[in-house]
Amino acid sequence: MTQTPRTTVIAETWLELGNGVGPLSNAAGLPLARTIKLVLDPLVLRPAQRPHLGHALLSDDAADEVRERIRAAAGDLESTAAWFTMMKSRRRARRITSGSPQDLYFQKAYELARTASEASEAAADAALDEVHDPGRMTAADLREFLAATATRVRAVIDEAWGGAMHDAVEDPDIAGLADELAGGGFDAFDRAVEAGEGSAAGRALSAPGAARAAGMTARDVPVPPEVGEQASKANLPDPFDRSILERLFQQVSSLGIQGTQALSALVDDEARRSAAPWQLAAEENRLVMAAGRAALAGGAAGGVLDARWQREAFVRRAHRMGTDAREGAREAVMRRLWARLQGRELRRIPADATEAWDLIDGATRSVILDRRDAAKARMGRA
Amino acid sequence: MIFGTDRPEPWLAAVFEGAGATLWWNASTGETGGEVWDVARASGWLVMPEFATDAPHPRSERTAFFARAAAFADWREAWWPASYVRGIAPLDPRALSAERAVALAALDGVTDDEDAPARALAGLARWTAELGMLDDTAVSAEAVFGEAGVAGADDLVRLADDYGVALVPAPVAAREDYALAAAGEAPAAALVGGSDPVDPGAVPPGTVDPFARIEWRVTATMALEATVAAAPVIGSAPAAPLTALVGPVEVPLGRTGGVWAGRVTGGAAILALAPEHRTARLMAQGFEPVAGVDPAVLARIAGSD
Repeated sequence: MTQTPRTTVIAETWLELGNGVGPLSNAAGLPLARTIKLVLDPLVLRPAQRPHLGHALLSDDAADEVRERIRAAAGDLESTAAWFTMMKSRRRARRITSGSPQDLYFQKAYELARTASEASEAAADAALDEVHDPGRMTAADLREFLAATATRVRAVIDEAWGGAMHDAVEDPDIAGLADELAGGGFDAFDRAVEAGEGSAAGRALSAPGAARAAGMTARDVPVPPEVGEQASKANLPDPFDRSILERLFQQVSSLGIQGTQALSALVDDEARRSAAPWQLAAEENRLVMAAGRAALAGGAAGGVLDARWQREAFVRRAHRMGTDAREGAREAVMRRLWARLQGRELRRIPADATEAWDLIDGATRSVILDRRDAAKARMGRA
Repeated sequence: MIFGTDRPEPWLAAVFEGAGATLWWNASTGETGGEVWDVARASGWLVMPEFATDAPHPRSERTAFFARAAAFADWREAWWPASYVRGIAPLDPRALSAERAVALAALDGVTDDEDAPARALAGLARWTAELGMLDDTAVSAEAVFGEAGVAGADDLVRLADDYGVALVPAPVAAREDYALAAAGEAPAAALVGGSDPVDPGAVPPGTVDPFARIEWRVTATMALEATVAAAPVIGSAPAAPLTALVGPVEVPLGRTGGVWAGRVTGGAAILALAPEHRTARLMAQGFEPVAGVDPAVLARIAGSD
């Protein structure tokens, strides 16, 4: 049985769609990064429901299914492109400058493509109003809300922590799982989700020093979070040491939350999340954390991440950019990974095995790029 | 897996970081090669070469064109040998940023970092906020703009907005002339002095003139003074902390106009050295030197033999 890279199947089928999807394509006619991430994967191919379509290498049958699904969506995708173009043009006409159009409009445009008829200015304006709704809760609203309800929120936190299992359990060995993920396999991941190994690894963090070693806290043993009165992006503590405010303030305005009741539900969810293993709600996400930790410890998966750092050392010199900066990177990657997983939970993006490695590798890349930017800034070039 | 020419020395490497594969061009010879580090990811945009000696080539000529353009914009930002001494004019950082941003936006979906276009456009926005918008002539000058359908500043603004970046069309600032700066005061009478060539690999871009010499002298009052010509730049000069190391003595340097200069006590230590140990070189804190840089080769690449 031959195996074809998923990226090849998508690229070749996308090129068949032609000019109608131009606004969703790059200069070579290939789909944009966010066309894949926000439209093709979650709305057309849906590997979360059809894991066989999420493999990096596809069997002939799966490749055919991917092609068919993209071809069948051709009309919707062309219409999405038209709506996206219309929304951008109305954005300019109305001098809206906040947010990134791809991030904000792609999924809305797809929704309009599936539900509305021809792209019209009025409908595009209504969509923009919805996306840019000023009635949404902001970080300031959140801070005010937490200040007014601190006692109640405190009680929710304490209740959640009181009911949580704090006994240190044995840390499962998932090095093999991490290696399999790095090699493109999902079977061990799916088995480990069923066995709850991500949760077990998370509970094992309550042993003295364990959560600190994982980069999650500066304390010996994690404690329940504060409600929080202040938060700043520049001084965020380690993930488990963040207050409820610090866990939510950067994301709240992009979540489209309307009204105090919804804000209250968001806060309660966060309080309960903080008492869960890895302080994450979904078993899949807990397992991604555990797999990330295993990968960062070495093995074949660690080798893949090491190779990234070695390429970075070369690029740093080629860019005449000072020293390599790998010190403390392991913990930094773990913190980045946690923040991304928590962010996905807030957005209700389901986790699945097909994305696990990309999340771990992506957190590593993100730390590398941030350190590159910081090096540039230190040299006075940013 | 490495295909085509091996990685050039870092100072000759123009690099494009694609999804699953890193491509490079030797800035001196033009030879190209690459490392495919994830076949499954790279297959979306790259045709896997059959033999290790074949350079990897993108599926589309346009991808190849923009990847090369992005790589060379990075190379020029890092290694362009702007020099008073050789009369090599500095490049406009807005034009370089714009080239990179336009190329990376054309490569959206192909870059390793999916936020590369937005990052590059944010970099351009910082420069236009400082120096004003690029004029349409500058935008039409480079092939990369034409190929991407960017005909003028308005198109750049639109492209940036596509990624949520506001290019504020600030009034064009008076362009700072990079004309030769005065060389400074005449040095005090020296007991002993000397000079050594600059190693551009020892310092960050935009700091020191790669064809200058590091001049040092011990004055009658036993002060040790060091000076070296700064690199000409357009816009604000990078504020890297430079130090001249003369023999064993560190002389912290400050940039004033076109010259880096510093003065410390401790000249006696130099007098005590055997003449062959009275050498000077530059260091920058937190900057790991890149070995083997030949300024003459940089000048040739810059078209100034």
